Amino acid sequence: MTDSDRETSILMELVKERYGERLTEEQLQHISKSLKSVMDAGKALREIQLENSDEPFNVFRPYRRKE
Amino acid sequence: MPVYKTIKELSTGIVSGDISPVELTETFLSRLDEHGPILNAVVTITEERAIKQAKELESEARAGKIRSSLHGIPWGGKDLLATAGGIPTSWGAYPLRSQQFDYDATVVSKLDDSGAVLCAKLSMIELAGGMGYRQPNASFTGPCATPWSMKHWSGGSSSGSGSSVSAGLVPFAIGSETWGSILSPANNCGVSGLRPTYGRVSRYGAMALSWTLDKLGPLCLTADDCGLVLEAISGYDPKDPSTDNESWSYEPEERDWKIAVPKDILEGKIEPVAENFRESVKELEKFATVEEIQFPEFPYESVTRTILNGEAAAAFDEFCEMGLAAELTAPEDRYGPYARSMTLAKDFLRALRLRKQMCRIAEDVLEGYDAVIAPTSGSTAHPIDKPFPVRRPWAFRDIMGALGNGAGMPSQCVPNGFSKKGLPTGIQFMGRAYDENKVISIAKMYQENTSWHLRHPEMFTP
Repeated sequence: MTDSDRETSILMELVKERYGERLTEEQLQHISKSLKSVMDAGKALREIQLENSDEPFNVFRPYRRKE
Repeated sequence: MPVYKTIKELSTGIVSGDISPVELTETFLSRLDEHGPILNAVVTITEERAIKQAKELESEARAGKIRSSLHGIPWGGKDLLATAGGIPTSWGAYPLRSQQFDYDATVVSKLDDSGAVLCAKLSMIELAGGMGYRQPNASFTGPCATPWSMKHWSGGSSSGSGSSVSAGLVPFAIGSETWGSILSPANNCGVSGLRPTYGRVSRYGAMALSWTLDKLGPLCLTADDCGLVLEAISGYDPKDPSTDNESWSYEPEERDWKIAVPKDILEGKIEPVAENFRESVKELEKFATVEEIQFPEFPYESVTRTILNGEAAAAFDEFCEMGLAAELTAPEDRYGPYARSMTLAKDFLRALRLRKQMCRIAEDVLEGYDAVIAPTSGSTAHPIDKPFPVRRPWAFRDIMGALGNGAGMPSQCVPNGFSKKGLPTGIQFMGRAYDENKVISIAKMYQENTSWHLRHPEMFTP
């Protein structure tokens, strides 16, 4: 079992815990495959080096109501 | 018959008094009613609102008051744009088929102010494809067909917007794109589509799939028409903080252009797409310099996909928690959201951090170029009754889609030929952020030198 498979398996437990009652076994199998893809994408992102100063490309501006 | 006339042609007739806005509206209402159900392209015909609007606009035109080049021009909106007055806004989803809002989306208000006449709410893939659909039958109104073949799909998620313009049911339509949802139907239906720069058009009142990826844009008969519509709908909106402060006006120009074409861009494309693209390049070389470029290795698809996964999971959290996904049309949409809801926060944030690098790559590679070109899609329209090929989204390369949407870059696509089966293919002109005038101008020059946009599906030609 690869690291990616283990992570997928752990997150599948969370899916089952939260939504298991409303999902069939067949649907859970499909979700497991999709989850592997989600984890693979994350793995691809971690292969690029980032600096501590590399901020998310979202700008937060504190809010102040106009008086 | 005013069908398949450009906005400019219709506007000239309205200004001169040769075309009555009321008669024009009645013509398109009748076509929507007759052909819409055959294509599964229409959700709601807004007849009462349209006739009322058209009468007011006709009075104004008679008095010499013309609001803009869209004065009296009928249009249709993807059914994710909020409309007041008891008109439902279904988001393409069965559990939301009766949803109503008490306000108009900013795009709808802006088109009202410009004198355009809303005639219909058009069909779309349920929740704009946000649940991960794998087949054309993913809308409560049924799978939407391309007017070029009733056995083939219109593309999505702005399905009805592409199909309706192609069938001459409306002169123009508004669609939305998060990743491919304007370009795909424009390609499959053989019409022109414009994905504007992120923030160019207010999304207030439009269904949110991904707050930092969603864009609204026009689908029209020509790139020139796309420019006219974009001018009407663009601009700052205090209700949408992502909108750009700068106003934008359509200013087409003709000059020698410098165009980039990515190395190996035809890899994996079907032969008619590749052949028509090569012919398009020859045509472009008559008025542009075309040079090969190469994008550096980078996880473009993973960056954009992870942002989309995280934002879509959050945007539809309540919808899914309420168990409403179980009522969606496509079986895979009923469980699709649960996997992406497991996107890790640190992966999502890492994607947002890498997005800045991705934007810089786009700027570095495209510096000195007016546009980068590629086939709009790797294939022609998919069979309407078959699931899509099984492949994970990031198992194939879509740098143009991932980079273009992830970095918020504009892209104008136009038809560039047909397959032997008579299905349209397309070419896209993608520009650096805020370069809409360049990409529209190049596409306009291409259309002035070709006639693909003048062909219309026989079954719907009056």
